[in-house]
Formats: sequence, structure tokens, C-alpha cells
Amino acid sequence: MSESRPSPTRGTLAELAPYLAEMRPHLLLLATGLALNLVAVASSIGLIALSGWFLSASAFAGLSVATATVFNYMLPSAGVRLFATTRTLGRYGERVATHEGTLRLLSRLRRKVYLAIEPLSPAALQRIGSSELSTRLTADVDALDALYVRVLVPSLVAALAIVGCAVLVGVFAPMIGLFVAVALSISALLGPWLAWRRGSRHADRWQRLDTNLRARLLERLETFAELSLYGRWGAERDELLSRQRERDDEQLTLARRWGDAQLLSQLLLGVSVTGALALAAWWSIHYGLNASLVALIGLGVLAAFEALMMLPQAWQELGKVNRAARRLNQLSESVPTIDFPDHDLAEPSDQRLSLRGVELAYDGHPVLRGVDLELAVGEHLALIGPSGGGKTTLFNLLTRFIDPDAGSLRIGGVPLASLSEASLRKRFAVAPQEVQIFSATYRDNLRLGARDIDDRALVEMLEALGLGGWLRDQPEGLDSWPDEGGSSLSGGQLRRFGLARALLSKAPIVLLDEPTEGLDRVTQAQVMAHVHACCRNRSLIAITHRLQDLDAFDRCVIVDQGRIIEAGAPRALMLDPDSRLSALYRELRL
Amino acid sequence: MASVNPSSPAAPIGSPSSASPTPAQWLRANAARSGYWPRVAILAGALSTLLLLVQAWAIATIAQRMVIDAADFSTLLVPLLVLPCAFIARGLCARLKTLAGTRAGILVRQSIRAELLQRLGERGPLWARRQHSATLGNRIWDQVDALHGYYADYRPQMMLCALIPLIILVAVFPLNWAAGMILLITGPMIPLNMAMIGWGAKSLQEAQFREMNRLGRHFLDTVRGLPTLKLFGIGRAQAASVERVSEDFRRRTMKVLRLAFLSSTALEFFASVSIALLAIYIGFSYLGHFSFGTWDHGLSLFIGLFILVLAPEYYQPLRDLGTHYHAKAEAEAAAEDLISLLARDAADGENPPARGWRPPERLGLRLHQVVARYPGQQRPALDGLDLELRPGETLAVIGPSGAGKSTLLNVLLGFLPIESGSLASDAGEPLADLAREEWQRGLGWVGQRPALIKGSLADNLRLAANREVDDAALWAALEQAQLEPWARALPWGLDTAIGEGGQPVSGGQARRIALARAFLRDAPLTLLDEPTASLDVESEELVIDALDRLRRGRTLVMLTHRLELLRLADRILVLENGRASACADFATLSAPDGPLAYLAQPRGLQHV
Repeated sequence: MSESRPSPTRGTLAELAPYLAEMRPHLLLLATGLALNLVAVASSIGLIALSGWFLSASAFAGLSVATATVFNYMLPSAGVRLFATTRTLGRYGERVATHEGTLRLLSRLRRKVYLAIEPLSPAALQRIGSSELSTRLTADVDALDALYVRVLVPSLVAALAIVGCAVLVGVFAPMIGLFVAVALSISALLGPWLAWRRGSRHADRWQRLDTNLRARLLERLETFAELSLYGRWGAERDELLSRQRERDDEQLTLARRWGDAQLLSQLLLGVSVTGALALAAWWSIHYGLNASLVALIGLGVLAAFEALMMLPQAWQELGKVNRAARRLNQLSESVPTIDFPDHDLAEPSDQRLSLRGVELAYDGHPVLRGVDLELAVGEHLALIGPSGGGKTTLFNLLTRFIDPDAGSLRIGGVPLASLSEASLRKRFAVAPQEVQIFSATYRDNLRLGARDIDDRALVEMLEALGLGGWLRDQPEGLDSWPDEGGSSLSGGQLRRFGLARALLSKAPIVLLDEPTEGLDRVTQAQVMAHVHACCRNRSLIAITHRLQDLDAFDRCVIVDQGRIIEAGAPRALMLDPDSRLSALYRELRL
Repeated sequence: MASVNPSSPAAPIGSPSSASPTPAQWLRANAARSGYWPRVAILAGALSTLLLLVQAWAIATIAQRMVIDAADFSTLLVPLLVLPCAFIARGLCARLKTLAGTRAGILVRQSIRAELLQRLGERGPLWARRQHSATLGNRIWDQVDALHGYYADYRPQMMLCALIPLIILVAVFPLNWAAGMILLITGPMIPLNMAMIGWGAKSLQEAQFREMNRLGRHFLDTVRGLPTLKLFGIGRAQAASVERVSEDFRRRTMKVLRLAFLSSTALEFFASVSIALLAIYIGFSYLGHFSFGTWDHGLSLFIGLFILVLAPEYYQPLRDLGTHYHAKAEAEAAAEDLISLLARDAADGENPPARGWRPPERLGLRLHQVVARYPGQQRPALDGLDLELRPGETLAVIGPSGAGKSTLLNVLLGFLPIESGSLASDAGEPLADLAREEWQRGLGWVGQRPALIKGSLADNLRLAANREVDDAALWAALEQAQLEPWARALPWGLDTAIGEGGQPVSGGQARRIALARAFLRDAPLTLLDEPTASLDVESEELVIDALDRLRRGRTLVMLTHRLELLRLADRILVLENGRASACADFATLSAPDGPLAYLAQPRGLQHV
């Protein structure tokens, strides 16, 4: 993947630009944070430098009683107290302001990223690997928020601290000021830059090893039963551990590089401080610089280093932020988008569905090979056939999660593609196989489509689907929240919950993907009876593996290997000994 | 706040204990795994402070000579040479500290991960399945890595927080007791300050952690649920909700943060005030306004500056600790998850030691009143099962879901110990007396979703072999499993990479790879779980064909729903509620008054 390539610096700004732009509305707040940070750092330098001068000057003055009595100690001692106060307050204010700004920024970033991925086709998104992808996505968004607080602020503060320190010194001795500016800049940049340069290869390698190893562990855990049965777990464990050592060696190398950078920084700092002190001493002997300024210069340079200490981390963060931004940019560019017109281009005459010659392939593997299908208004149709035959893909086509390679899909004579997204969504109620429960009350989860459904209707629906007992077990009824991932609902319950959600919508066409999977026979019959009752006067397509479900359908269609291989009334097909349906039915199902 | 006491006894990890340790206790106990590296890190930190004294000496000396003594430049040469050396030595100390900390973190993580994988092997697949592989993987991988910062940075820094101020106090007091007192009083309360930092950082971190997690979860939730949101036509509208929830979290977090920041501000305040007080005290002493604290040896500029240079460093370790606090919070969160994984509990099955048992040529089994129960379940999954499995017979097992079919397989696989009753080989050897590994050498296995590992076809086949096998044996097994033509057509034959990222393998092919493994394993007892489920007609016939060859000379137990396979079986065991409701051949069971009578009707509509 692109991640492993050494990151080209020239692209960094371009990658980050859209995220930097998000800061504009909060500029005032962010600037305040930066200013307060500067106040804190300046006070820190000022406090120690002024104290150093005050000591030197008062010690010199204290050499004779005459100078001691006329020495104006009011001003420096007031300054010392002032700096002590501003340092404290500046630090506190800076923390509050930057966090406030960062969190506001994060809100906007999340919105922006969400809006960027929202138009992507869910089918394509799912294929990228839904859970891994979404986890990474959140991590990447979180990484982006470091851009301001960990990269921009420290860099700007360090730069301004160097300038400030150089000016402070330069006021008394311009040449020394220049030396300080150059020396501090070099020590600020060289060490971290070298560490980054020399470490980035190892960081990439570490990242690669880590990703591979993690994937390997997950794969081996999934096959753990067989590995352990075949007595291979011990060898597998040793292999994992030895590869882990390889990865950790990279981390150790990175730590070594980091240590080198620290050493280099200290060396350069040593040169800066010593150089400044030596120059100050030389200047005071030969050019009449006030000797009491020697300590001020030395201590000022030393204190400025506090601001530079945050820089190496900023460099490291920049790499992370950059990688995150690149991934997000790539994602929104690489995944196909399904375009919807803003308004309906034509008005469907009714809710009749018509599919003609629909073909579709994933990665060159044909999934649908010319499907023709009509659904009359109010007709109840069952789709059956082996898994992987293309049934769910038909649903994805109808909801335009994916567009066909060839053929047409029409509703009431109008191509699906000429309907706006809102208008299309209003026509279909869908219960997919994988029901997603959101972190919200069960009530809100049920009313996703229509906010105006009252509790009575919700409870009735749950009762009818056999979820009444479950609802009564919930501590706060419909106001209860699901656990993370909806694990408080069992598989069968979760499916019925999704079913309830779809049936509560008033859409004229209902699509159900294996609504009774995982249910016992009694519940299954109850659920299907309710489905048909709810869909009276509505069109219904249900994918099912349960042949017991078929009787109440008007028509059933068998889909296998991307084609419709049989269609007709269930009872008629069942009685025909040569039909595929009766062959399927002969398979023993206990 | 963790205690500073380093000598807390490192309890043997995973020893049986009545109460599970708190995360903080557990983290401390596991520090022993890092060897001497934490001490090296602490030593480097302490040494760095000693070098700071040298730096302070050099700076103070230069100022003293310049300002007071008005000495010649040549007198500055020694301090000017010593000063950069001290900086370099401090750099070396920093490098050593970084390295030692990293090594400590790595050692702990490697040791804990090794133990986790070991424990996993001991606990077996049933236990692993209950944890969900993704969660388990996350714990073994990410959570263990999350411990790093605690051992690499936080713990050494904790020690330095006590050590460094002490060194500075020891250096300052003999020079000037008043300055020492200022440090002692403002600093003080170092324990108090640490507690404050701890409290502040803790509540700060916890709040931030919690809120950020919630926020992250909501976002994750929304992204994952995007298809659903779109289906209900509220995909775009949700953007507003994403922002609103994020803003809600911001308001709540900031409320906590404003308060929590006060504690680090207090530290900042003490540090600033102590420098200011020192500067004013020393300056006023020079001017003759104060004359105490000097032990009667006076207060030179040298002493004053020496103390002033040390003052900021007096508080530095505490400030550093604050920045490492997130590492501690992260480690504690991870520890909470890891404790239960490493703890031994009563549910752990005992695995008897290996005794050199070898599977016989032919193997039968006797089950008498077998009761088996999954941990935490009320109802036993097998409830008094009687069965005699004859050597060499093919037994099909049928029954409604929940009747105990999979449980029977898990018991036979050695993954689930029986609760009562007896389970022995036909030679009378109780299964419970055999080491799990020894028993499993006698087993072959064909599952519904055979495990394919990333690797070559040969690797995938050899996985199951009990002994060294050559390529000829692999080809033979492939032929038996009807896979030979497919394998011959592969670009690199046996060396072709299959599975993820390699040659795609269909469900039917995977099933036949599992069958080839069973041939290769050549075990007396082979267990099969729905060997033909969700296969197309062609693959199904190939599988049935291969099965017919596999059963010769072996004992087979297979769960199935397929008529053809039932006909293949010598006997059919009908399970109901964890018990055998019938066990006979197909003809008997499908006789007019048998339980499978309806199967005998040629075709037509038996109504549901």
C-alpha cells in the first residue's frame, strides 16, 4: 500500500490544506491560545533571565554600601513577580483556549469527513472492509486533531521563542543576538530533523511489520480451533513471538535514533549556551558590555530551550497527521460514488418494478448475468437460491448501493437513476441481514425513518414480532439504550428488530433479506404472518432460505449463479416433481 | 495514585488468587518482567541531575568571575570547557534513559504476550470462541502494546520525581539554608503536589479518555451504520448530528478540563513563585536587606546563581510526570482487560500429562450417560447421552438445532470436558485420562468453514499431517479429495499461495482441501460438520464421492442434514434435548412408523 512508501514532503501541505482550512472559523480562539502560550513561554524566559540579571546586578551593587542603597530594586522585583504571575495565568489560559479550540475543530473535522464519505456507495465501502475501515477512519480523524495542538502551536511557539530570545539578547549586543538566533535555530531543527529522516524508514517498517503481524494474529485466532486440533498452536505461537521480536527491534532502533537526536540537541544547546556565555564575557571585557548581563544571556538561552523541547514531538506528529490526511483523501477519491439527481427527472406512474437484462460483476467475477424480473404493485415475491447466487446483490441494485454494468431497473416506468436520493429512499423499506443498532434509545432506533410514530405503534409492532417479552425485560422500556454493538439483543432478536424498523416505515415497497433466519419454527410462522399482514397493499420481496415461508407468497423466484432459473407460484412449483423448488425441498431439513 | 514504594512484592503472575488485583496492583506486579532496565533508566535520570549541578557550577562561576571578580577571560576557560561537556554527558544520559525505558517496555510486553498466547493454548478454542476473535486479537495485540508507555516512561519518572528534588535539596542546603527552605516549603509538598498532579491528571485523563472514547464510538457507529442511515433516507441529515454530538461532548469535557487544569496550574504556580522568591531573597541579601540563611559563610553571586539555575529543574520531573500520565491511564484501561485473560479460574479444564498414548489403527468409543455443559449455561447441552460408536462405522448425527450436535463434536474433539458420565475408547481408555494433544492425534476434522492460512497449498495441507509428508503424499491426498485436477492447473502447483491475497478458493474447494487434510492425517476417527452445507450441486457430488472413500477403514462421525449422506451412513443417531432419541440404520428409521418415515415418501408436499 501507499503507506509504506517514504512520505514525500512536498505533498504534505497539499494533503493538509483542506484540514487547515477548517480552522478558519475558530481563528480567533486558536490565535488566543497561541498568544497565551507565547505569554507563558516569554514569561518563563523572562522570569529566569531577569532573575539572573537581578542577582548579578544586585550582587555587583552590594559590593559597596553606596551603590547598594541607590540600587533600584523595585522594578526588577516587580518584574519577577509579574513574570511569575503571567507564566502561571498564561499557561492555564493557554490550556483552556487550545483545548476549547481543538475540540471545536474536531467537531468540524468529523462533520467534514463524514460528509466526504457519505456519498460513497455503501456496497463499495463495505467491500473495503467495514469494521477495519471505520476503526481506522476514527483513528485518522483523531490523529488530525493533533495538527493544531501538537504540530502548529509548538512550531510557532518555538519559532517565536527563538526570535524573542534573540531580540532580548540583541538589544544589548546585536552580534550575540545573531549568534543566539542561529545557534538556537540549528539546535531546534537539526536534531529532530535528523531523527525524523533517519527514523522514517524504520517507522514505516515498524508500521508494516505491525500491520502484518496483527493481521496474522487475527487470522490465526480465527483458525485457532483447527490449529490447536492439529497440534500446531505451539509452533504458531513461537512464530508470532519471534516476528514480534523483529518488530520490537525496529522500535528499539527508533528509540536509538530518538536518543541520538536528544544527544545532538543537548550538544547543540551546550554549544549555544557556552558560545553565548563566552561571547558575552568577551564583549564585556573588550566592548564594555555590562557584566551583569552575562548571566541574563546565558540563562535566557537556557530557558528558551524549554520551548524547543516540544519540537521533536511535533515532527513525529506531523508524520502521523500527514499519513492520516493522505488516507482520508485517498478514501474519498478512490471509492466510486453513486450520483443522484437533485430532483426527480420523471414521475413514476406507480410502484411497479421492472428489471431488464441486469448484469453486474465484482472484480471481474460475474454476480448477475442478465436478470429479468417484474414485480406488480402489491405482489409478494420470495427470492430463493443458494448463497452467493446474487439475491442480496439485487437488493443492493434496487436501493442503488451499486449500479449495474448493463441492463435497466425501472420503477413505474422510470429509471431508478432518474430519481433523487430522497425520493428513492421514500419508496423502499429495507431490512438487511446485518442490522445496525445505533447508540441511541431503542425508540430512536426504531423511528429512524419516521420520527412521528407513537409508542403504541412501536410496542404493537414489537409484540407482533415476538419481541414483547424482550421489551418488558428492558429496564426502561423503549427508553433503554443498547449495549455497544447491540449485544443486548440476540442474533434472532436483532434481526426482528431490524424487521420492525423496516415494517414501521410507510414505504410502498418492502425488501427483506432473510427475515426469519435463526428463528425457531413457531416464531418464524408468527413473524411471517405478521410480515404479510403489514405488507397488505404493499409490494414485498423477501430473500429466504426457509422453504416453510413460501406458502403465503404470490410468486417465488429461484436465483442461482446470477440467473433466474425458475419462477412461478410456490404451490404449483412444489407439485411439479421436476421443478428446482421441489428438488430443493426434498433436501432434508429437520 | 500508585505508591512510590518500588519494593511491592511481585506476585507470581496468574497464580490462583481469591480476589483479582486492581489494575494498578497488576501493573506494579508485572514490572518485575522488565528486569533491570527501569533501574538503568532511573540511574540515567539521577546522573543527569548530578551533571546539572556541574552546569550550574559552570554558569555561576563564569558570572561570578565576570561580575564580581572582574577577572581575565583566561580564568573562564575551565568552566567554558566543562559546560559543553556537561551538556553532552546529559545528552548521553537522556539517550540511555530513552533506550532503557524502551527496553523495559518491550520486555514487559513480550513477556505478557507470550503468556497470553500460552494461556490461550491451554484454555482451548471453545473459550477463545466465547471472547470473539476480534476482541481477543485486540487484547493480545493492541492492549498489550498499550502497556508500553507505563513501563517505558511513567514508572521510571515516578521514581525520579522523588529522587531529583532530593538531590537538588542536598546540593542547596549546605550552601544556603534559607534557599533550601524556600524550595522545601514551596516544593513540598512534593508528595502533596504529586497527589494533586495525580488527581488532576487522573480526572483530566479519565474525562478526556471517556469522552473521546464516546465521541469516537458515536462516530464509528455512524460510519458503520451508514448503509442503514442511507436506507432510511437520513444519511446527509446525520452530518448535523455528528457535529451536534461532538459539540455536546466538547461542552461536557471542557467543564471537567477547566477544573482539572487547575492542578497543573498549581504546580506551575509553585514553580514560578519559588523562583521569584529565591530571586528576591538572594537579591535582597546582596543589597544587605536580609542577612540570614547563609550558615555564616556569606552569599556570593556564585551561590546565588548556582541555586537559581537549579530551581526550575526542581519541579521539572513533576511536570514531566504529568505529560506521561496518559500512558498510565491507557495502561490501566488495558490492564483491566488483561487481568481476566491471565487469571486462572476454576473453569479452566485440567489437562493430564502426556503418557505416550498412541491412537490405535481402529478406534471406537463408548459414551455412557454423558452430561456436558458450556460454562455459565443453566441447561446441559448433552444430558445423559448413551452411544456406542463401533470401530470403522460411519455415524450420521441429526437433530434440531440446540439438540446437542455441535456439543457432541466439541466433546469428541476434546475441547469440552464432560461433566459426568463416562466417555472411553473401545479399549476402555477413559478420554479424561489422556492428554488433549495425544487424543487429538487420533482425530481428523472437516469443518463447515475450513481454516485456510496465508501460505502455499502445501503449507495448508501439511498443517494437518501428523508426521513428515513428501509431495507425493500431498498429491495422493489431493487426488483422494478430487482436487488433483484443480491443483495441477494452479500456476505453481503445490507452491501456489492460496487464501487471502493468493489464488481464490471457492467454498467447495475449501471443503475438499479439508477432506484432503483428513486423508493426509490418516487418523482412525474423523469428525465432520455438515460436509456438504451450502455447496452447489457439482461440488456436493465431488465431496460425497470423496467421503465414500474416506470412510473406508476409518470411523466417521458427521453432522448432516443431507439425504444422500444419511444413506451413506451405517447408522443415524437422532439427538433430541441432548439425548439419543433413536439410533439405527436408515431403513429402520425411515420405516413407516420410524421417526424419519416421511423421508421414504418419494416426493410431494409434506406439509409444515
